[in-house]
Amino acid sequence: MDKIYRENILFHYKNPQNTEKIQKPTHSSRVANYSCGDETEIELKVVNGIVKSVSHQTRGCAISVAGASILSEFIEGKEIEEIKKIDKEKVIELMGIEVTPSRLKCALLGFESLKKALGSKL
Amino acid sequence: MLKNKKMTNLQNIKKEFPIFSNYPKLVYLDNAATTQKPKQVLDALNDFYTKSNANVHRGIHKLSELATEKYEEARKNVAEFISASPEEIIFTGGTTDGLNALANSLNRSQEIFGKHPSHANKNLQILSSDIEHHSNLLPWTRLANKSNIFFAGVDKNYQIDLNELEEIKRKHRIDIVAITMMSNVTGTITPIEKIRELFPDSILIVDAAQAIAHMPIDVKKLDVDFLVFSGHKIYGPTGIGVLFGKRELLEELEPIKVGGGMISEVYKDKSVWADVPEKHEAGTPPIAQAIGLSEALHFMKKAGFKNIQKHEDELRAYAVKAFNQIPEIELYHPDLSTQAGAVISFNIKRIHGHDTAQVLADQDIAVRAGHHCAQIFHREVLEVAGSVRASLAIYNKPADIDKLIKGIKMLYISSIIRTNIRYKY
Repeated sequence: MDKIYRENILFHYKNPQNTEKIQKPTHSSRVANYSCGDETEIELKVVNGIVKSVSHQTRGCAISVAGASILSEFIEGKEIEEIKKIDKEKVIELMGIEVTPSRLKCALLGFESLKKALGSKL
Repeated sequence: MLKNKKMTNLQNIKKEFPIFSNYPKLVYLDNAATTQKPKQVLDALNDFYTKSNANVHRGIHKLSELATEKYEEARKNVAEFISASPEEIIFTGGTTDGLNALANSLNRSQEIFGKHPSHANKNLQILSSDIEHHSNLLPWTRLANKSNIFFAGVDKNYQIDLNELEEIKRKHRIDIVAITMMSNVTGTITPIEKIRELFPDSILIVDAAQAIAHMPIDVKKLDVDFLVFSGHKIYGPTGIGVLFGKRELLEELEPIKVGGGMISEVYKDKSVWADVPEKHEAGTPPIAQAIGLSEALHFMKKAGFKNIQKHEDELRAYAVKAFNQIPEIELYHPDLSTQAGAVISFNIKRIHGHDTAQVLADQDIAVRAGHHCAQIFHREVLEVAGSVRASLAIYNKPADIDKLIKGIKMLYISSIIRTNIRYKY
């Protein structure tokens, strides 16, 4: 239990960061994991190639909510080009836990949504 | 014949499953997904490959004759198990394989329905239910267009609502009834005889994937036209399934596959099929798996359905009563007074199913979380995204339930992964 439900994961699960909707987002996406009904919606406001603000609404298990929350904190204020370089391994590293194969989808739900949002332009 | 007491004593049956020697702490409650395998099944597989391995049929050499003999013996044994004749048993890859093949083949065999007095056009009309596993749902939704498939709802005990069935019957001609015999989410048992009474002229197809390991099935008594199940859910190997069909229907049905071993004459412009059952078994069949399944059925016979049902029903009652003691549990299981299989699905309020399953897994308790391939049932009946499922089998004991309940209580009391989110659609 300690391996996956570390304190920072539980903190983000109970207090997900960046959940307030942003005004006039430039990018957005919604991704669901139908195998468990989890869902996340991400919105970005990008100005001059920099993520000025980010918001996510994630409904799901501890791992998916924490994953999206931690990722949202990490990308805020960063350049789009830099964000595009984030890969799966980086997300897991940011979460700081051992993710078993069956939970990888949970951990990467926010990341999948972010990738989709970056491809969208409102 | 004197009954060997030890043989029917399920208390010791766990010892016959090598997985539990390898993982002594394992609490395996994922039996609706697949069961563990007894040593005698594993030995039968090994025996076949080391002593009888060859392809079946038409081989003149000794090994081929031996393999054929064993394969046909397996067919005979399967037939006996469900009170069918050997030629009514088609070996498939599993339940999903059997149902897909059947749906496709029925669609190509419309003359079967032409005999139906009210079958006026070529659009097959199908009756299904809200509690089906996707494997007994998608082959039919793909076959029928939206206006030709009807879904019966369930009552508060998750049992298929017979009143709704009657209403559907009044309004529509039904060519095919495709229905589960036991739910893989709630353990609810469908009264097949009543459905047959309601639809005497329809083709009645029964998904017995869950039922097969938990109750005796007599296809003659039930008067079903087709019945499918998998080997791996009844202590047999994966990759083997059974499609039972009434002989005259199997004879009329277009071959479910074509290829080697299923013809008597082949020409460039036409072919003459072999007799049933070979007609439906193109290609090299799952020979070792069929033999393994047959051995699993020997194992079942030795244990005896009377003992199995008593054992599993006692365990089910024990578990349900324990669950009912926990106010935070939302249980999706029929009343104990209703006959049902030992499949118990639940959610813990304000804890996501994946988190529950993960924490239990860390205590060597294997349960399943998700929609269990029954999205419609979860979305439209339970109105939740998913559930946690504990499904029991012959080797489970009250101590397994105790560990599960202890794990759940710990999870709740510690409250570490509780949230305020309610996972409703």
